[in-house]
Amino acid sequence: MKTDIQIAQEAEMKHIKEVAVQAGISEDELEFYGKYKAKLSDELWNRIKDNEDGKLVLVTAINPTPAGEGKTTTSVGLGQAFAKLGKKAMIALREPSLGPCFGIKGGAAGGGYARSFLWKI
Amino acid sequence: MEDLNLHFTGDFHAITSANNLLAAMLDNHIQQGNTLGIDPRQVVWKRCVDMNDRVLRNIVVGLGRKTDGMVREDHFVITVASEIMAILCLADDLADLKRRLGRIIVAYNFKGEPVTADDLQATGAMAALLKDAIKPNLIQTLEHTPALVHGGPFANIAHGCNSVRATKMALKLSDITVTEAGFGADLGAEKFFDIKCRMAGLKPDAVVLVATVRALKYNGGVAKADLAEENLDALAKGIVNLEKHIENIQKYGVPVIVTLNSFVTDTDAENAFIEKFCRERGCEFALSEVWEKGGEGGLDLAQKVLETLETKESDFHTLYNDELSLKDKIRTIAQEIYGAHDVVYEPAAEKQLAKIESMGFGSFPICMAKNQYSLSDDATKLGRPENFDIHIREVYVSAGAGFVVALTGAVMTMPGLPKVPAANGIDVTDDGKITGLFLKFFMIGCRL
Repeated sequence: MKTDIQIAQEAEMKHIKEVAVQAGISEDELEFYGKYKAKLSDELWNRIKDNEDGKLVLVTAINPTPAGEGKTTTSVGLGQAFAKLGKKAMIALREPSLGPCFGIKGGAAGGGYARSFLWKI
Repeated sequence: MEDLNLHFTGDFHAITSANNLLAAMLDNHIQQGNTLGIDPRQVVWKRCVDMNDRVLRNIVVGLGRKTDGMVREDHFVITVASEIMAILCLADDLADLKRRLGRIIVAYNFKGEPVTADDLQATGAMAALLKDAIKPNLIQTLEHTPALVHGGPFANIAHGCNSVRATKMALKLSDITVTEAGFGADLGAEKFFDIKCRMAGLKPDAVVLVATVRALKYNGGVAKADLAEENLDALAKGIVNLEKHIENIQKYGVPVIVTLNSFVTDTDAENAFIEKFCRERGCEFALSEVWEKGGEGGLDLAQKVLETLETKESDFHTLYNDELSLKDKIRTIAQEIYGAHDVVYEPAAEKQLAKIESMGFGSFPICMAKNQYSLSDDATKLGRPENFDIHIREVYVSAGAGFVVALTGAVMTMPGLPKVPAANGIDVTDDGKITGLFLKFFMIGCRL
């Protein structure tokens, strides 16, 4: 079984400007951080701020086991499923912290478990 | 590719810099004559670094000669626990960010009055460091779905949600925005509704409540080693936890869809039992196999959510009004969401509450810091505990973020490394490929 990082490194990515264009964002409204990451500019906000809001769905969970119940997995999978159904979906999540990456030992959520929600950046 | 877990777009570095600029200006002010009369024993602003480094929890700064600064006890927190992280995630725009930064209380003077970042004239320089960090980051998932990944505050001493700015952008750009909040619904959803939605004026349309057969059995008293075996009795005992969370979300007027994040060890009988339980409570139910199949495995869930969005109107309202006293707000959360009998305060917490209200922060919402494993403040009380009190040991105000933090126990804001840290196995090849990095995206919200 491949590890998370192998899957991430082997994944085929689109240039982030292609992903942005599909989401209705023009190249000029992006501030690129390499090919796969971009910040959304203030100009974009000024253009879209009067748009009607889409629907907002919160993903939450019951009281967890120490292994966690998969809120992020579900959020990403649900967003991807909406896209498959032809809906214009966007996922809004937290940024992970750097420090704990060097602390925890592997096992809890490795390999296939994470296969569906690996980020490509 | 793996840099979401490393430097990403530098937001956390910017937050660390802004946090530590404020700390440096504070200590410099004391050194250069202390015209604000800052009491070095009552400095509440802490330095921060994005590293698990336990020796920095309690330190002494200013050792050396007279020119090396005033000696005082100091502390580090991990960057995600900095109030600046919470501020960045709640700010509407750059102007609001500056207003919030300026309100940060860094210390108290010898008269006991608060000293703020504005008093130190630090606000503008901090905002300059954060001007790009406030812009949401766009990346893609494995299936090229756009994702805004932005900000990551602690879920205990802060509200545990991505930035308001990113959520609002996503809502303007899409038909449906999917977001999440750290910990279980008693903390995550409560803070999402009562802090984030209240401040940002957001109106959630539906809630997806994630459960696992394993967690329900765990709540029914099954030991971790035995969770893989079918156990309908334990499931029936533990499902009261799910019941309470369904009731809680319904109190906010938002329709609920329950989803089971399936594991290979789950049985059909267990799934059927949970589905029936949800339907009896007016909730849609869907099995989710996204961990194995990606978006394909979430189609059933997505359909159920779409049906709910079309047929059930959200009547969202917060749990309590701004006008309630801080104590009444805490009691409302404890009784309505946790199912507590009452709230018991340590004498120090009583004094702190009175002082916070006298300082004019009585209208702020409450940010509860409680363990995530139990609805109560005792992590061993699983299921749906009854006849318990919530014990408030300490209360303080995060004036910039705009909430009052109520702590039920000690909260670790600077983690340590384990005996064999993951760093031992991380390397980079000569051609620049990182190996051994265990991708763990949302650890802070979920595990600490």
